[in-house]
Amino acid sequence: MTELVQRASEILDQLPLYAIIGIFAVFVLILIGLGRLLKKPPSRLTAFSSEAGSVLVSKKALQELIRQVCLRDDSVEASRPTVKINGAKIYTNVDLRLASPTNLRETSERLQTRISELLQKSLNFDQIGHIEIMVTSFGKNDVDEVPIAEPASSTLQAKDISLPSEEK
Amino acid sequence: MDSQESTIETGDDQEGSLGQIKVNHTVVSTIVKMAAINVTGVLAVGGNFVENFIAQISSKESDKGVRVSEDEAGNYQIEIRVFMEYGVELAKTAETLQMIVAKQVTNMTGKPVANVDVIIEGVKMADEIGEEDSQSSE
Repeated sequence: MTELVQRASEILDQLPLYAIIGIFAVFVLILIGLGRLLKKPPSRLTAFSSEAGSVLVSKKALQELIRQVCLRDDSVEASRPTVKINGAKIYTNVDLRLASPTNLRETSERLQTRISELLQKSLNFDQIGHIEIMVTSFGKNDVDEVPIAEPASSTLQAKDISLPSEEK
Repeated sequence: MDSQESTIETGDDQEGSLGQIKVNHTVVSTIVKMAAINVTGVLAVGGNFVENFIAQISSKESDKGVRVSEDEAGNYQIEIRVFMEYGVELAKTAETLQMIVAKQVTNMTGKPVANVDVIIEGVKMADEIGEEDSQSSE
């Protein structure tokens, strides 16, 4: 054991200072990364609780659900949802790549409705916050067809949906 | 998990107790897992990457995605992490899952289940799970 320590100290003595600092920094970064990975509380949302137990949904599951809902729409080529959970409320942001730059408002409103229906019907969530739809790009084949007169239409932030449960 | 084994009370014979039956929590978690994958809409049982990794290195494959403990009264408290199929009503499926798991565990062990907490870890298409299974078997 003492031999090992001696050899280690010899090796360290031979190393230049910047190499030692580098090794130390990498070691600290690995420790921080591992700590975050193991200690980070998983963000989940309680769908409902009863005497039989509670049902929780992970953020990842929510994002995957929303992604699938968006992809079911013919005009959506790709979607990247981000879900934020604040207290018991869900806030959703969805980045979309649409097949063509037509009916942006209609598409985003349709998706907002579908997402809110999904969260309410499938998961019984009634605390639904903003659902923001952001069209970030269009399908490669149709990029040339973007109307020059409407440059702002490539990014559309749809209005928030007011759900019946929030109005009560 | 406080203890890995739970004791089931058995009927007494005329001279006293016939003995105790001990059921390891691993057995209970296997029952839970088998009951869960038979529920329509549940595609797989399992936790996240870190939990699955820990379960694999601790050689407790059957514990993957299922935690079993007991409350003060000795009733089972079960936590199960599942992947569900896209398109099913998640809340209803989770409710059915709670009911079936509780019933199956009670039937097989004779001990009541206090609660079954369901954590929906992910939603997948049925063919995604099939592909993952075939990849892992290769």
